[in-house]
Formats: sequence, C-alpha cells, structure tokens
Amino acid sequence: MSAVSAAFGTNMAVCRRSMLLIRYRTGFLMPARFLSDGEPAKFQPPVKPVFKDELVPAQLQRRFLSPEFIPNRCRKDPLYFKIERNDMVKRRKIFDIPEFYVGSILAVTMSDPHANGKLHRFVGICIQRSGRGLGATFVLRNVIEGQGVEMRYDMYSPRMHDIQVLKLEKRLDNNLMYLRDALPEYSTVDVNMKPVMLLDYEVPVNSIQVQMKPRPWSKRWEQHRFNIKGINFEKYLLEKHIKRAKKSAKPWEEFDMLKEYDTTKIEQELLQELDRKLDKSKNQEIGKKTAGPNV
Amino acid sequence: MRLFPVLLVAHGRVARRMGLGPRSRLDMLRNLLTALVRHERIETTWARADELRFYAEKIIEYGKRGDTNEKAMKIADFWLTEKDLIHKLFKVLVPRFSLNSGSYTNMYHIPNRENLDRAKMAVIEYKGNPFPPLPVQKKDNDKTLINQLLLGYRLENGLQRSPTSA
Amino acid sequence: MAAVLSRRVLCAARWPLVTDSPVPTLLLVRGKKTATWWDEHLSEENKDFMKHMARVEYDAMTASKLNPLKDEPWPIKPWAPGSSRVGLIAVKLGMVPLWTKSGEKHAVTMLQVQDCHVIKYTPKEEYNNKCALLTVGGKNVSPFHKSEEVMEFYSEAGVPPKQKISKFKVSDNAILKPGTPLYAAHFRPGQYVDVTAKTIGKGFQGVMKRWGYSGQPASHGQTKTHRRPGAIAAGNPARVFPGTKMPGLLGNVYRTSYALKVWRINTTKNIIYVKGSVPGHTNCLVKVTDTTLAVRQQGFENLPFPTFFADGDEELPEDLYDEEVFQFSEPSVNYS
Repeated sequence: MSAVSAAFGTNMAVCRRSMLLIRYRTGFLMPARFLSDGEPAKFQPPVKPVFKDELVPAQLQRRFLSPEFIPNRCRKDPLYFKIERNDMVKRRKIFDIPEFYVGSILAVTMSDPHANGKLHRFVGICIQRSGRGLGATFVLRNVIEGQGVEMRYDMYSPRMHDIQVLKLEKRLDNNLMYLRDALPEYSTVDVNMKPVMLLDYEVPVNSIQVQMKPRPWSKRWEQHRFNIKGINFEKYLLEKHIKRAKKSAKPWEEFDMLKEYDTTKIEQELLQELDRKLDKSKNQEIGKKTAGPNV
Repeated sequence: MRLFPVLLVAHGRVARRMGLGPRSRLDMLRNLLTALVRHERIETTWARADELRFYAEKIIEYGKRGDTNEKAMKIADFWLTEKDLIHKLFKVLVPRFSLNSGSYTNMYHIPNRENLDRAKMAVIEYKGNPFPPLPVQKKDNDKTLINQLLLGYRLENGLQRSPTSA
Repeated sequence: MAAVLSRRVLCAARWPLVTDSPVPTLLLVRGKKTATWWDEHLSEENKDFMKHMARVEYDAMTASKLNPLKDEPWPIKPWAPGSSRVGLIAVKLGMVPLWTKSGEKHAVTMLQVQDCHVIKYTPKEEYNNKCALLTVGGKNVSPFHKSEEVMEFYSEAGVPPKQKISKFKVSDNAILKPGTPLYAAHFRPGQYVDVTAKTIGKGFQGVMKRWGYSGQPASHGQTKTHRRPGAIAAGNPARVFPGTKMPGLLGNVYRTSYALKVWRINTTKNIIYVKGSVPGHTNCLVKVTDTTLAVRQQGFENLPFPTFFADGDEELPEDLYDEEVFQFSEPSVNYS
C-alpha cells in the first residue's frame, strides 16, 4: 500500500481524476492506470478436472426451454413462429444445443475458412443471450493475452460444430455486458479448462459481485433500467450519481400489469410440443438405424 | 374505440394517455380501483372505466394466488391505497370469484355527463355485488319475421349450433 | 349457399327501416345504401349462425382447390418467349435468417399466399388491345361489410370476397379462368420476383429523414438551424423549381423491390422466402410478380405455365429449396 500511495503522491497528483480517486477511494482499489486489460493478477479459477456423468436418470433432468423459442409479444401471425420453430427443431436434431445460461462458461467450435485447420475453438464466459427464433445469438467473452475478446455466435448457424458447456451456472443478472468495465480477471477463463460436473439438481447461482474499473464506464450501469445486482455500486459512486440514477428510475412500472408478459403457459405448451417433435425424431432415427442393415 | 392490449403493444401504445404522465395515470387508476373495491360499483368517464377494467380483473387474478404470495401482496399493497381493503380483496372478492376464470366485472354505458362537459360516462362494477342489478336494454327481436325464418331454416337443416339457442 | 342466404337476409333486414321512415333522409354512408348495420335486426343466435356459416362455406370453397365453375376448363397453352404470367397476392409474415451452403447468412422475408384466386379476366379488346388483364384477389374477408355490387363481382367468379384485389397484365397464352386458385408453387426457387406494396407511412417528415440531407451543425453559432434544408433556390432564377426536395409526407406510397431471389418455397403452407426486405409492414398484402428486369429472366421457360395447378399431376415435396440454400436437416458446414 505504501508503494501505491507513493505513486499517488509523485505521478498523479496533478490529474483531477486521480485527485478524486484519492479523495473517495480509500485504498482498497488499485488506481486507474494499474487496472487496464493487463496481466491478470494471480487469479486461479477453482477448477477440478471432473467429467460430466452421463447416466443421470430421466426424472432428475431439469426442464429447460431455450429462451429463443418464446415468441415476442407482437402482432405477427402465430404461423410465422411455428414455421420458424420447425426449422429450429430440424437443426437441433442434427446439432445439439445444450442448456446454458448467461454466466456459464462455454467452449464453441465453429468452422472458419480462415482458421488454421478450418475449425476454430473459443472458450469464454457467456455474457449475453439475445435474438429470438432462428436469429438467436449469444456472446462469449474472454481475456486473451491481456486483451478482452468477445465473440457473438449465431446458435443456428450451420458453421457451428460444437457447443460444450464447461461450467453450468447462473449469475445474479441476465446480462453481463458490464464485465467490459470490470477488472479483467472477472472475464478471464482458462483456455484449457476441463468441464466441471454439476452435482446438484438445481443450477447453482453464482452470487459474485464484481470489482469495476473506475468510472466512466461504457454505460451508466447504476441506472435502474439495467437493474444490475452484480455490482456493489456504493464503492464506486458518489452521492450525486446515486441521486441522478434515482431520478430516472420508474418504480411504478413493476406494478403496471399491462406491461407484464406472462409466458408460463406458452412455455409449457412449447415444452410439450418440443418433446413431441424431438422424441419422434429420435424414435425414427433408431428405427432407421435398426432397419438400415436389413434393407 | 378500444383495442385489446396485445394489439396495442404492437403499435407501441400500451394504454391510453391520461393524467400528467404514466405515473399520474397509474395514480389516478389506483384511486379509482380503490373506490371500486370499496363500493363495488362506481360511475366514471367511459375511457377511465375502460382502462380501469383491465386492472380490476387483473388484481383478482393476483388475489387468487393467495395472501401468502409475495408478489400478490405487493400488487395489492400498491393498488389499494386504503389498506383495510387488502383484507376485503383476499377475504371477500377472491372467494366470490373462486369458480370463475376471467370476466369479473361489468361495464355499462350511461348517459353523458350533463353538468360539466358532456363526457361519455360509464358504470363499472364487480359481478355479484349486493346492489340491485342495473336495467339493461336487450334486443327483443326473436319474434320478428326474419329471425323466425332463419330459426326455421336452422331447425330444418339441423344446423342448430350454439348451445344457448336450445 | 349461406352467402347467398345472407345477402337475402340482409336485404330483408334492411327493408323495414327503409319503408317505415316517412321522410326520405339523405344518408352519407360510404359504400352502403342503407342506414342499418348488417346484424341490426338479427337476434344474437342468428347473428352467430350467419357468421359461422359464412366462414364454413368460404373455408370449404378455399380448401376444395378446384375450379368451382362447372363448365369446361380453359385450354392450357405452352410458354413462348415474351409471355408474361399472372402474379400473386401474398401476406408479409416477417423476416428470418437463412444460411447458404457456404455458411453465409442472409435475411429473407416470408410471404404467405393466402386464399389467392383469379377473379376476373378482361380480354385485350376491352383493355388496350395489347395485353389481357387478370384480376387477382387475396385473403378472404367477411361478406357482411361489403356492398351488393362488390359481392356480385365476387360471386361471378364463385370465390369468397377478398381483402385486396389487383390487376396483372398477362400475355394471351397465360390467361386463367376466373375462380382458379393460385399457390406459392407458382414461383420456383432460384427465380427472381418483384414485390410491390405500400410502404410504412411515416407522416410529415423533415428533409433529413425524407431526403437524407445532412442537416447542419449542432453548435458553432447555429441559431434554430440544425435539421433545416438550407437554401432551396438561387437568386438568379428567383424562384423555387418544381420538384425541389422539401419536407412533406413520407411513406404510404406504393413501391417495388425489383429482382429479389426466391430462396425457398413451402408448398403446404404456401410460403415464399424472398431474399432481402420488401416494402410494407408485417401482415400487409403485397403483389408478387415475375421480375421485369430482363437480365434476371433466365430460366423462366421452366416455370409452371400458366400457373401451378394443385389438382394437376405434379407432386411436390413440402419444401422446395434453391440449390445454394443450407437445409437444416444437413450436417454442419465444413471448410476443407
């Protein structure tokens, strides 16, 4: 700590932002210039090379509906969604898209004409799932050689070869875009990470609160519309910032029932429909396999 | 004219604009809903009653989740400004509608407001309230020639479809 | 049957009111000659019954896939260079992504052909002595809000009333008998089409949005001049030329997207997948025709001529794909 304060005293005293830093940050955070996307500071992800057990009984499997199946609340013809869903099911029969959430760690292999060996593998933490229907995407983020890298993948693209879930977990938020403004160790994942077995029936929620780089951030994450729980804002904000954020809040919106979109019924129907279609295909495949040699 | 919510959503207009803004609109409807739960039949302008109707039905739906449900309690606490009515909601209204699913309210068009601005007025009420029913003019044209002819045609061809006509 | 009955009932229902009124009143009602609405004198049950029967009948008419007129079908003539086929009326469902076999992603628009029928044939002698005219309608609607004259127009062809009708110029060998249903298989993957529709209305807009002007700087001494057009004429002519780009109403006019490739066709649901965007909002009715661009007309001789007949002997699979399109039942793309 003495070295840090010395650095404050000599180099950064002139800078206004560093003055602010000295005034409001009491020393438990590194100053800005030490916090760039540089060398990750001795961060070891607690990973054990345990492989996923494939012999889980069917009753114990979670019911999971991928969010891109849920139609938007709009005036489009239901047939549009149905036709799109048929295509999605067709693709899922060939290419397995596993259950994963924002915050899970994935390894994605996709074919790339410019890559060495024509296949490209990327490991990262999923920070966003967006899009609906065939256009569904997700974003992986990792810090590689001190440089933050993000890759956006089309889930139904024919170039996708494999999606492997290395660690299945949820986070407090449904969108982790704020990791761009967090310290690099929070989005650093070991490229050679081994898959971690999930021991519980429920998907664990990682309630970690990340440490941010000093303001300004790419977005004002403290605003209520982002509704972020994974940052402890008291550490980073002044009173005026909190006041300003409160001004733009709309606390009554959660009580306006007109704005609710209850998807529980739709989800159940979709799950049944998908079960029907995917099971049928499996039976057919088995039938084909058994019948194949005979014919 | 009133489009139902799903249609409104697609055009980005979720509701009528009322009062001084979205906050003010909800506050006004909140007071109206409190009055409706207290008196079970209120008179207001047609547009307000029409807006109110959705919330009046929805709060019963939430009430059906029971008073132990956190979200239901939160909603009831917000929408009923007079807190003694929370008990009325869970103990009186919800049991009354326990067998129904949807359509808990009636709305009637009444003559325009005379004294102020000739606004279109309406009465909105919860079904099963203790007041005498409002007189409603019904179509009484079953005995006209055309309807009898159509009825005869239907019976002749065995096309009696709706169960109410039996 | 029910439709005819409904027309009679409507006339009967309207009659008492017209005769009972002692003084003839002048009514300004669009398209209607009486002041009653169609169910005014009907009881609730009868109203439901009429609605139900109309729907049942129209569904049956649409589903039968046959020419409802009993007389002889018109002879089918072969394709010849320079002949032009009829177009379709389709509903814009929305946009989806589509991938090619090389792994490229494209945005396509789904257009559904709903209840599309040929309604009227105008021979060229009655039109302009150059080409014949076919009137085509799409998407069934309720008969109860159409006037008598309009209903007669549809009943001549023996089809339900339509939401949109439009005329297509066709060559003499491509004429179709009124009442012929049209399907998405009229077009084939790989060919190019033109799509015409009314664009989304934007209302009164300034020059930046309407004509793409750059506007003027936000600061540096600007006073009330940020999105304005600037000069519209010079001192020498001392007047504004007609046709100068100015603020005004934007959108809500017919526009055509030319030469859009058909990637895929769903023959059971009658859906055409057309590359790129088309004018109009979702659920709007669009006109789809063979392209008029000469360079994109290769292979037109192989299209079904004069149209695809569902009761013909051509058996089609559920989905027709262009050869470049990646089908979702194929394995993932590999570059090697």
